[in-house]
Amino acid sequence: HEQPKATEGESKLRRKLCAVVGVRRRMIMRTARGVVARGAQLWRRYASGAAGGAIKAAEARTPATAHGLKRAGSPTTCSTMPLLEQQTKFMSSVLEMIPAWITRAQIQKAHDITHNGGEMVLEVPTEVTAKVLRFLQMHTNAQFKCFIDCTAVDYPSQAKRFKVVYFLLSVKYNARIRVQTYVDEITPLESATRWYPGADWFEREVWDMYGVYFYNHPDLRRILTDYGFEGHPQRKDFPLSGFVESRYDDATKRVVNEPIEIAQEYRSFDYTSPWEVFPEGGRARDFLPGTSSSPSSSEESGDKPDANEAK
Amino acid sequence: LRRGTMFFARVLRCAGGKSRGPRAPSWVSSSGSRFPPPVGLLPDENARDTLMGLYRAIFVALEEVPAEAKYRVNVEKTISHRMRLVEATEDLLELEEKLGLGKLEEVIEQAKDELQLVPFMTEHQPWKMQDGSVATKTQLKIELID
Repeated sequence: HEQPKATEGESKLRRKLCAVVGVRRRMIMRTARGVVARGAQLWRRYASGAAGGAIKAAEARTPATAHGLKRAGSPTTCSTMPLLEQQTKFMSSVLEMIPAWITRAQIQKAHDITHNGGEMVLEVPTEVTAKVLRFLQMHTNAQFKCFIDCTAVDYPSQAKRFKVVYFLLSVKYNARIRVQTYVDEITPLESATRWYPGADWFEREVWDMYGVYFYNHPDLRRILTDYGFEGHPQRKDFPLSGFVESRYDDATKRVVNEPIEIAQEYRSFDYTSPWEVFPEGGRARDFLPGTSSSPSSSEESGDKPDANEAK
Repeated sequence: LRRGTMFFARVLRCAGGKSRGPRAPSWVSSSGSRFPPPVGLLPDENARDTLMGLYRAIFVALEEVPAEAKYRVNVEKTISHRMRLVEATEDLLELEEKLGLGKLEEVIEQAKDELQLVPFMTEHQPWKMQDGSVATKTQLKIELID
């Protein structure tokens, strides 16, 4: 603390207090100075007035928030810039700060008239996901400190088939952002749990459902599938009913997993008609084009209700 | 002596405006209404000094970053603006309102985070392009998709 030099008013007050009380001068100096300084401060604030203060504040505010998100909700910092423009400015500042870490930047649903802006999406290389997340978490103009979700999507037609997506929220700036990578079955990603402990179970789910491995994860094991389950169910090449079915075996007195037996024939919908077409069945083939008129086997049609009941 | 101290206490109380109790902490609003920060952050009487110290430390840490790197430029811009405001304003409540970033303790947290980020960036150097030079222009465009 730098104490301001004693002004004339202060020495006057000091002398007055000394005269009244008669205590040691040093003690009076310290307290009296504080008293007078505080009074001067209050007077200055009152004298400058509310209007002057607000104008100065507004002038001071403009340069800093020129490159990014503005604090929403606060009446003194309510921005006049539309949200899409804010988002574009923020994205361009991120692009210029970490160019080596970004492969693509998008704002999706940008011109959706219901909302004021779009959804910011950053696509990053596989080696730097955790680093980008850390940057977004810590940088002053970003501050995406809240971890929302981590999921994956399977695009089997691509070589890098899994898109892993991280969702973040900035409470300070009321903004959300998605960080995504494309990764194949064998490439590991660095776990985000180092910076976001809440990413724990989400990454476990991505591992369990898709088979994307996260290194440096504290506890990467299955979370939704049964113990001893093999396969990654949310992959597109994993069938809907799976490969095994469980039943109670009376002989061994326990639940056994056996290869699946689907008694019901595969139902295909070609959507040319609103009703399901049974090629081997009855009258539909008389009316619909392209259906084969093969003899209907009573066994098959007999099986169908049973299979439906069992399902 | 005791009579003297009691007198001073009374003087102080009158000068301060509203009177605090004998054991109330100093940040309980006795002058102006600077309320304490959110749960988890300790109230800081010397917030201005802390902030200035942190900002100076950030500048020192930024010297490791190449001067043309946009990260350094942007951070210096933000931090120097805040430094100017902190230096200019003495009253903490007024400073909070001018900054418009929430409580001063939260601003301190932000400065600490940036200070943690600078060595992280220095280590990984995301401004470096393939050939080792510092990127001055971004090649990527932001795609606006509907």
